[in-house]
Amino acid sequence: MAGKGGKLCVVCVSSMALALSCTAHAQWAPQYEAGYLYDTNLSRAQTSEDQIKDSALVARAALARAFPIADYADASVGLDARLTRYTKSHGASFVALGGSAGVRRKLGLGLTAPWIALEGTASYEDAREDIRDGTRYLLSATVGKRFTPELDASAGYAYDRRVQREEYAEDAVPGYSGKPFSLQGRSWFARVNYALGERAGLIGAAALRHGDVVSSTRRNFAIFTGSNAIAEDPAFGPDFIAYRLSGASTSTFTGGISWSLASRTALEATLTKDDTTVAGGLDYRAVIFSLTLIHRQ
Amino acid sequence: MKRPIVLAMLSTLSVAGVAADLHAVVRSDKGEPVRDAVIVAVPDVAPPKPQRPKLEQVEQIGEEFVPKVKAILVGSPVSFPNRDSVRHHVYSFSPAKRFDLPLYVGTPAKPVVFDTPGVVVLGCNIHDWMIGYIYVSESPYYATTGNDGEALISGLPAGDYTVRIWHPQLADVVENTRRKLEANETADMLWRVPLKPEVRIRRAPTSTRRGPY
Repeated sequence: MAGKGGKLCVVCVSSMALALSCTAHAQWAPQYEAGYLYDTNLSRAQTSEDQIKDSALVARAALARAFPIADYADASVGLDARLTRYTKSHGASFVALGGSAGVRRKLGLGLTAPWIALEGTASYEDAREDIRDGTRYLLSATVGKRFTPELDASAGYAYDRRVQREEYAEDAVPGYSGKPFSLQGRSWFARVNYALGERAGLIGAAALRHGDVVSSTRRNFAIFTGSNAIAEDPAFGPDFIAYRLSGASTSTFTGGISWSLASRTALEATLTKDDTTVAGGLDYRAVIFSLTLIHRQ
Repeated sequence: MKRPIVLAMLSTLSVAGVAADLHAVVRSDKGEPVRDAVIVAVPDVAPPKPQRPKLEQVEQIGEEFVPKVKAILVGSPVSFPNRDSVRHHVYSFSPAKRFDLPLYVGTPAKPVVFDTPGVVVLGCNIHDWMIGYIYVSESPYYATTGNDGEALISGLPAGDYTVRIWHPQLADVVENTRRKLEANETADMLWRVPLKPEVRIRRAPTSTRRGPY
């Protein structure tokens, strides 16, 4: 893993260097993010003894380019490199490299004209623990509109899929898949931004997702019977097992504030609350605080 | 045939020799210098030698309009060079001039002619925070205040004028001022104007982090 992760790290660093070097070229828009997050339930476990609280340092470099395809429409492509390093749960730390493509069309001219966008992203995640390696895909359709100079909102529908790279052990448990990190789900989401002035802005977001989730706990018979894929998950300890639970509903609410440090630099603080409900009463909750410094060139 | 030439020469001498200046100082109601205020002096009598409109420019630099406020003479063509590496789509819905320049880089081939006096608000259909103003003046005697809140209109023929002020953040309508300018005079005019807060769209970038499932 170390060698494999090292190579991916090199790719990520190279991508960031590429982003930096591309700033001089027309049309490429790099964005950099660095921050801190604290997760009250990184393992997404139901019982308090299995809930892993951890913090992480995160970094991201992205490069996007837009191509006009009509007067009011453009297509875009992007590259994205991410690094998330957890303080205690080192096995869950990962680097990711991905790409995106999308189209966006403004339905008219002017500040308040609505817009629609379709976007697809794919990224490969390489975690310290191989069992967590895999590819994530996301397809989304979004509509948005600015209502006033202060208020803009968007809403949409998304399909997400995560494909675990390696099966834990074929037929380790008869009738159970060895890929608990292979997941898919569908979400409705909405986001609102309200500017309190030129510097400060409020962020509100909500999402309702239905699909598979992965919960890592110590041996738990109730979760075992409710799951359809399992594998050891040493990211949180030698006795942790990752269970895939299907048919879960997750409601997510995010509130936050963004503070402009300069015209292209902002500090964003958000608090996100995830509530997941699974049939059989296997519910869990997580609260995530994040502080991110963002710079767009 | 000689008479018009002599009259033209006299007229030129008259303007050059006895022209007045108008020195405008604009302060907010808190006493701070007000930048980007447009001062226009409209003569009661048409200028002896009407000025011809010239090609003007409003650039896009760093995803902002530069200058933010541009005063021009009615009939002037204005080009909108894009100095950024991203495309812009400049438009206006203002009654004084409705137009749009669909996505472009560089300088659009054809300037836009502003043939109606008034205020034209500029926007970019891609970058919502970009806002600019073109003040189309019916009089050739205008100026825009700088960082010090001061502007100088020079070369005004002696006579009676109606002087007006405009600024994008003016909280109230400021009444026009009547002013008689004597030859060789430098007239000082001071305005204290109430300004409303500027409502600008935030251009701060947002995080793209997505929660894990």
